[in-house]
Amino acid sequence: MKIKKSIAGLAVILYIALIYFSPSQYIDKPKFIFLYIAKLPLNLTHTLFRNVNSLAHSRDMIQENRCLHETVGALTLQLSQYKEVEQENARLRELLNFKKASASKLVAAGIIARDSSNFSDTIVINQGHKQKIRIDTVVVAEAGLVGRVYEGSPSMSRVILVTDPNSRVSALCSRSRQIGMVYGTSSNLCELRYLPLAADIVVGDEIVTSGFSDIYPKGILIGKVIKIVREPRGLSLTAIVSPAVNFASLEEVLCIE
Amino acid sequence: MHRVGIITIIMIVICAGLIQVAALGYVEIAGIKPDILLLVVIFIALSCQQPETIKAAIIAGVIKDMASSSVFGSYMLAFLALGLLLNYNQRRFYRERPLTQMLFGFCSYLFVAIFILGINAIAHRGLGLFYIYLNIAFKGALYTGAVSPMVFFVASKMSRVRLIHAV
Repeated sequence: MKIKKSIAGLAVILYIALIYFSPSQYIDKPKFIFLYIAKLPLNLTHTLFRNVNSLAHSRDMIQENRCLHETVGALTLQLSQYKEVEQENARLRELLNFKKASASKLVAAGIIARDSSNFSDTIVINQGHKQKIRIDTVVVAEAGLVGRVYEGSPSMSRVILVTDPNSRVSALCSRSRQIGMVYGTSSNLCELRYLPLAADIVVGDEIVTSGFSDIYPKGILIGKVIKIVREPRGLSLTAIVSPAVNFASLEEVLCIE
Repeated sequence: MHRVGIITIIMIVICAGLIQVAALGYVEIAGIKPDILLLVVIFIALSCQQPETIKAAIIAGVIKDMASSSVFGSYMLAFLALGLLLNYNQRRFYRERPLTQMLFGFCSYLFVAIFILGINAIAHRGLGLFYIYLNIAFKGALYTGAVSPMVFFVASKMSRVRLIHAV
């Protein structure tokens, strides 16, 4: 019994030493092995609960479908107008000898697992190095920014969401061009910090990526301002941002290669 | 104390794990979800013997580690510590009442949270986010405590075991 206890104690000490001295990418390697083994049951459970959820919300979905049809109609009209503008823009760029911006390639990915703890907001997607998804690849959804790839394996990647407390995104207000930094809070909300006290920002303003980083391209929608907080003796304003993407019901994402 | 077959324990833990990883997003409130894997470990620690508790804690810990961004092995260690602590003291504390179950769920969540934060700090992760984590831990503990009677009920039905009454 005593020997068993000593072995257990030694194992714990060795583990603590290992996590203190080793780089995290080596410690976390076994996670993807287990995830690979559990991929099929996870997919099945995910599909099952998604279908149950869809059935439970079928009434809402019918109404949503109607609204979406109306929106599609309006957007189609708007799209045709934008095409005109785009063509005009291309002509003008050519005239000004601007370089043509290279179009990014998008890779679609499905979510196979969500973070099991409340201390971090991450998802695991079913695309990895084989599909050219690397660390820091930006992940988006139709509604806006999802996050970036944090660690990966050949066939899976872990994405850190914008709501994770460790997430930082340089952002700006699309209306007033006021620059700040978006921090995650792990409660489905983000904070746009370091805004000047006299910043021109109001509730409802859209926050987009600023492009002042090597990771996030410019202009991806992050969310909308829902509240502005002014600390009593603070030197800056903080805006509470509700992300454009509903992470709870997110099923597919797009990775920008 | 009861002896529950290892297959039953694995089944219960894997079911809880799959739900935790793939489906709890649908019941989260303000980004906070309950920890049903933790509750299953508590249930097994309170109703079974030490070998079963160890096996359940290891399997639950691996599942939890696999799907979280914490250091690999941190949840396994936390669940083992909690499971052994509860298993050792099961007759002293526990009474099969919803309020006691809620209290156990709440306190155990906080215990695991502090454990995880400690290990992550040793591994140089999440430093400087202590107050954010503390806030999340409190909300998570409340939610986990609230759902614990239901999870205990389902787990007892699955394993056909009634929890012991304190002497």
